[in-house]
Amino acid sequence: MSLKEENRLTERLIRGDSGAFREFVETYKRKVYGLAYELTKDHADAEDVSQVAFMKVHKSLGTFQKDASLNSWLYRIVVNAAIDHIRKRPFFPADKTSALPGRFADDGIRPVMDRSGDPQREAESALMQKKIESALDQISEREKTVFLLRHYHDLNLKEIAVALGISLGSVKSYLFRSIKKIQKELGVSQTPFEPGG
Amino acid sequence: MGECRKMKGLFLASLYGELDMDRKESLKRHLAGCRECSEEYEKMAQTLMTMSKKAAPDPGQQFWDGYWDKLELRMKKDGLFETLEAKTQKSPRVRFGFFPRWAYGAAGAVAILAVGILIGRLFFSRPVVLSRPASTGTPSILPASSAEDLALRTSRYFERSKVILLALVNFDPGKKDVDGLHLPRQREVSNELVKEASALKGDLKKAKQRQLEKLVGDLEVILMQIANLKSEVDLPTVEIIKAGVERRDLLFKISLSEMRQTDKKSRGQGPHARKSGPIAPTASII
Repeated sequence: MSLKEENRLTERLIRGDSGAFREFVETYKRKVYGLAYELTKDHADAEDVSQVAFMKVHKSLGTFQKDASLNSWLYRIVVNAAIDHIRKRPFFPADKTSALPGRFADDGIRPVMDRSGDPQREAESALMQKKIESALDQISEREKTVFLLRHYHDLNLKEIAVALGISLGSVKSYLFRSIKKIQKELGVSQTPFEPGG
Repeated sequence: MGECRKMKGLFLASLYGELDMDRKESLKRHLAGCRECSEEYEKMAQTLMTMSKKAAPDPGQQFWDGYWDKLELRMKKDGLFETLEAKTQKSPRVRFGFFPRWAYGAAGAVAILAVGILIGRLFFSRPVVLSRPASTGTPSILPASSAEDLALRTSRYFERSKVILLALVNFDPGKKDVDGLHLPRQREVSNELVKEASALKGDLKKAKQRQLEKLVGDLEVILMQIANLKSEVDLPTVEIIKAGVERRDLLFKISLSEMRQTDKKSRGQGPHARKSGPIAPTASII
């Protein structure tokens, strides 16, 4: 969605256009679910978190500042909803085997990957997914959230700072650290450095 | 060393395209002359490229199709689904907070003028005779000319939407050239139709044509998805939109609406019938 379209939708949401909220959900449901899934690693949890996030958006529309970024605001709500959800769930959940990376079949979720029909390419693609998941598992939750928001959800560094309520320097630091750790995990050699912010 | 440290601080912004032209140029110059930084930058870029291959989790089309219904149900259960209009009325700051003080004065003057005109019309002019639809006998809230105009607008809206939907539904990437979609034109028309939808829905609502209003609303969602398609044809999204068209039976509903109009004409009610009332019988089919 372009910035112009986002602004138009924001205005309609604030104005109280009855169709705007549904349009908003249809536009953002995949992104919201995607982030919730990455953070919870469970389909049922991700669905619940995404619904809770949209409900919070609906409840808080009256407090939304017109000049604020809809993206940052929405992602802040999703991240907070996911954190709340993770805090509430049992530490050793009996039925959370689907929460383990690579166990997509258990909850019916399959990553959209190579479906070319070429077994070798499909196997390579599956291996690559496993490697990427494993690399993401090596970084802290904070680093991972920053990385996911920047790399897969296209929020710029300032928007991430607003969404997570942290400084721009911290965002840069978390992102740099996460990339270095991922780099190491993927087998690319590392040089010691960290930006000042 | 200090220069390297300073330049490494720009790596992230550069890799994610957030660097302004000046700093981009100075980083480019530095990388051209510093092998260590250049290698470091390359490795980071390579890492990010690998991570871009990560597949998005996909619970399947069925999940996406039913997403809104489940959310709506949950919101209703939680008592959250009051209308957004009611919500914003509760929060006057939202509605009025964005305007300067003089705007309230101007709005007040306009309101007084409007009340004056209304009183004038009520007490000093002939009453407006409202038309009735020929077939249903239900009182219409629109004058005949507005009803005719609304019927024509709705019919034209469906006709234009149908052309767009047919092109998309009949599109087969295996048989036809991707350019066969003429996407730029379809996006442009879809955009126009999306813009028109709000006003049309409002008028249909006033005319109590709820089912037609809903059909326009459903079309609006699909047309918006088409308008948002990227310039390169995004085949997975095209498939999703096609599934949406089929699931909502949009083409079937439009055809029924057209058949009903034709039927009315053949029974001699044609344009005259349309002049005498809104298109309520069509709505009852849909």
